[in-house]
Amino acid sequence: MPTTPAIQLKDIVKVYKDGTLEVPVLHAITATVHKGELVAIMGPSGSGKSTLMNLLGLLDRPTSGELWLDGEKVELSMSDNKLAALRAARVGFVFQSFNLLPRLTALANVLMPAQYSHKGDAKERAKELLEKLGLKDRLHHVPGKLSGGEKQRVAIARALINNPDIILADEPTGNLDSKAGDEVMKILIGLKNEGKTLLIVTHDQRVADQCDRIIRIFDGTIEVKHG
Amino acid sequence: MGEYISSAFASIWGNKVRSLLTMLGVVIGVTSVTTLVAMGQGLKNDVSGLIQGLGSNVIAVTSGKVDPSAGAAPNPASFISTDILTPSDVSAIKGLSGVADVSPMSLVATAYKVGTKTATPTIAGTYPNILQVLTVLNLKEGRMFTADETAVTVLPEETATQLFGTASPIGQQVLAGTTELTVVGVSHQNSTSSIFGSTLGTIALIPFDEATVLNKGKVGINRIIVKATAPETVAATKTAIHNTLLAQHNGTEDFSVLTQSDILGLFDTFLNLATAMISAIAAISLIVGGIGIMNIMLVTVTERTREIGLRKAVGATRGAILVQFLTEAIIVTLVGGLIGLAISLSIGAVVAAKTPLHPDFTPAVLATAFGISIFIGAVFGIWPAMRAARKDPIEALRYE
Repeated sequence: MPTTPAIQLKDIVKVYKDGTLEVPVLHAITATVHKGELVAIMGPSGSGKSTLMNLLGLLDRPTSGELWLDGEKVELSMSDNKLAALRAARVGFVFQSFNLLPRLTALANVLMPAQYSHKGDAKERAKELLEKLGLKDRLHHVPGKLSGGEKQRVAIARALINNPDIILADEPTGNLDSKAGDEVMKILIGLKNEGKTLLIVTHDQRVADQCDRIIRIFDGTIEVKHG
Repeated sequence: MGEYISSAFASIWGNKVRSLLTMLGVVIGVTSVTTLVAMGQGLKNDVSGLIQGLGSNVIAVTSGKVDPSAGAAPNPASFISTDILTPSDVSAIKGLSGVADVSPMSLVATAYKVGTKTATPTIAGTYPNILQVLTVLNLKEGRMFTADETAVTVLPEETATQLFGTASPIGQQVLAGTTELTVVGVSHQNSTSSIFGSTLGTIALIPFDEATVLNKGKVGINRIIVKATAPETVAATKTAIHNTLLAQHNGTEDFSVLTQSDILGLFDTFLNLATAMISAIAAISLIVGGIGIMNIMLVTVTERTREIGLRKAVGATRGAILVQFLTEAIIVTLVGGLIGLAISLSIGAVVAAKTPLHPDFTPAVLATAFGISIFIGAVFGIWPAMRAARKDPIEALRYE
C-alpha cells in the first residue's frame, strides 16, 4: 500500500458567489491521496466533483482550507502566474472530449504544454511517449484523421509531456467505445504502476472498479470507500 | 517566441480566405502609403537636382512674399506680377558688397516664327552678364549680345533646332510678334536646372530693353538673378538685398529673396504638405483595416475559447496567451504589409518605366511599411488579446 501523500485536502471549502447569492459547493472536504494511487471520483451531477477536480488541478482556489501537493502547501495567495507554473510542472489533464487542437499534428499537440514549461528535449520525449502509446505511425496526423481511442492516447501523451506526478482525468473513457475505453484504462493503470498518482472522474462503474479506491461525493461532502 | 510565430502562421494558414480578407485593408493602406511616399521622394530628388543645378551662390529675387519656413502655400499669382520689382531695385542691389553680378529677367509672352515654323521658348529680356550669373548656361555657338544692341536674340539649342534644323541660325532672322530679331548666338545648358518652372534649356535671351519694347513699353521685371561673390557670402548677401529692397519699397515686404536652399526648402514644404495629405487619406484605410483585424481577432478569440482554456490548464500564463494572440494579429498585419510592399514595388517599377517619375523606395519608406504594419497589428490586436488572456480557464474549457 502506498504511503507518501501526493495530495492532501484539509477542510476544503468552496463557495461560489453569484451576485450577492453565495452558493456553497464543497463543504469542509478532507482527504488524502497517496503517491502511486489510482482513485476514482464518483458522484451525481452537481455533487461538486468537477469543482474538486478544478481545485486539485490548480485551476481554481478554495475559499478556505488547505491543499498540499507532495508535502508542499499550495498558498491561496499564490499569484496566477505561479499557479500556472505549478500546474504545468505537477499536473497533467485528460479530458472527456480530448481537447486536441484541430490544426496541430499529434506531435505538435503533445508538445504544446512544453511551450509553457520550457523544458528541453521535449520533442524527443513527445515522440517517445507517442511511440510508447502505439502512435508511432500517427505523429504527423491531425486529430481529424485519428480515431477516438487514438485521440485520447494523444491527449494522455500530452498530459505526460512535462512529466507531472499527478494525472487528472475527467471521464477519460466517456466518449469512447468499450474497446477503446479498455485500452485507455490499461494505459492509465500502466501509469499508476510507473508511480504516477491518478484521479479519474467517472460515471462508469466498470472504470471505477479498476481503480484502487473510489471517492464518492454527495452534495459537496466526501465519503471514502476502500475498493 | 518561435512557437508563437509558427502557431500564428498555422492559424493564418488554417483560415486562408478569412486571413486574406482580413489583411486586405492593411494591404491597401501599406500599398498606398509606400507608393505615394516613394513617388513624393522621387519627385523631391528630381526637383532638388534641378535646383542644385543652378549653382550654390545664386540668389533669386521674386515679386510676392514667399516664406519657405512658414509652410503656407504662397499665392502663385504674386509670382507673375511685374509691377513690383523695378530697374532701380536692380541698380540698388548691384551696389551692394558681396554681389558679383546682377541680371533682371523680364518675360515676353510671344512665340518665335521663321516662315511657317513656330517655336515657343521662354523669352526673357536680360543683361548680357546673365551668362556670368547663371553659370550653367553656356554659349554653344555665336556670341552673347552686347549692352547697346537691339533686335537680337540668343536661342536655346532646342529652339534653334526647331526653327532652323541642322543649319546654323547665326545671322538669321526670327519674328517675335511683328519685330524681327537677328540670332547672334545659341545657348547650351550644362545641367538640368529650372528657374521659371521651365528648364533653362528653353530660355531665349533678348536685350532687356527689347523686352520692354515687345511688352509695349511696359518695364516689367519678373525676377532679379543675383550672383554672390562666393557661396560663403550668400547668407549675408541675402540679408543685405532684403534690407535694401525693404528700404526701396518703403518698408513693404512685397518681394522674396530666395537662395538655393530656400527654393529647396520651398519645394520640400510643398511636397511634405502633399505627402501629409496623402498619408492622412492612407491612414484612414489603415484604420479601417485595423478595425477589420480587431473584429476578426475578437471572433477568433471566441472561437478558440476552449483552446485558451486548454492552454491555461497546461500552464499558459495570462502573459503567454496575450503574447500568442498579439503575435497572431501582428503576423497578419505584417504579412499584409509585405504583400502591400510587394504591390507597391511593382507599381513603382511600372511608374518608373512608363512615366517621367522616378519613385524612390528609400530604406525609410521600407521601414515605414514595416513599422506601420506592426503598429496596426499591435494597436488593434491588443484588446482581443487581452480578452483572450483574461478568460477563466474553467469557464473556457466548458465553452461549447
